[in-house]
Amino acid sequence: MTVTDSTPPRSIDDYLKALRRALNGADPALIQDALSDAEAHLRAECSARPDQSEESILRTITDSYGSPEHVAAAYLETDQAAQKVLSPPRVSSAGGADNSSGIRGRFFAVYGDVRSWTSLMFMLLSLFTGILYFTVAVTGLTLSLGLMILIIGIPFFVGFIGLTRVLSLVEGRLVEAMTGERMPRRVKPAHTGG
Amino acid sequence: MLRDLRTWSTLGYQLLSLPLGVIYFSIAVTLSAFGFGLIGGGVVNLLQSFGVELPMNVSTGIEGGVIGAVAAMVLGVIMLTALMHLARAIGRLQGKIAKRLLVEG
Repeated sequence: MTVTDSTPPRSIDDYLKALRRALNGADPALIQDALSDAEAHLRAECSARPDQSEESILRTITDSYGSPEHVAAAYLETDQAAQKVLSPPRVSSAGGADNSSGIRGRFFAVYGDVRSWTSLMFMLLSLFTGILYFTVAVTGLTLSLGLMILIIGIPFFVGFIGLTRVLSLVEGRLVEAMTGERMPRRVKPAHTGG
Repeated sequence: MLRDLRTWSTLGYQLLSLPLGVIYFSIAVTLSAFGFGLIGGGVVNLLQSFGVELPMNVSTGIEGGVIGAVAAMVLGVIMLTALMHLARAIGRLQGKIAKRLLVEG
């Protein structure tokens, strides 16, 4: 992470771009979370003060919310700590299991791994979530296309995409709980700049 | 919104999740049923070969006497353990798929 770019961001897009640059190389899910937080905050500030220019608002925000580089560093630090807490204990350090004793020990050590149990649960659950997502996607797409000739077609499509985003967040939470893959923790905003 | 690649990949993920869900569910149910069946069948055969009266007359289809019964139980345990390994691998794979399709890259 290089803190060479010291010119303060002039617009929301600038700020988000700088934040994305500062987070370069981090987990994509973390980047998406940080960007949606920052965007929500910046847009809320700007709409709360309509009489000021975007540039002057951003100057004050950079002082209160933090510069993109500081925000990025804070996110990285918090995420590292959270990841350490959220990850299940390693089998090898849990004691008792002699999983290092040859190939047989390692073969059966899988029963001590929380991830294999949760993944098995996910395999059973994924049929039902799969049916739900597929039904929503097909119904939404076909109804959107069919209703395009009417005036409610476009609002319907926008609502359908919103529902898709929420379902995507839900699936992400499920996948993270079951497999440990870091997934976003916020609904992605509709208009992500940067 | 229409030009956002993430919108379309999310829809793709939702369409993909039905066939994947069917495959995962079938694998999990088939392998666990087969594994437990082999273990249970081995136990029944062992009891029968030791002359224990069972409440009903069952034929497990496992042959080879005591050795065959033990072999079936060992095979069942191996099958269940292999399923656990497979589940962990599928979990990792699904995590990668979800990250590629649901998260902005």
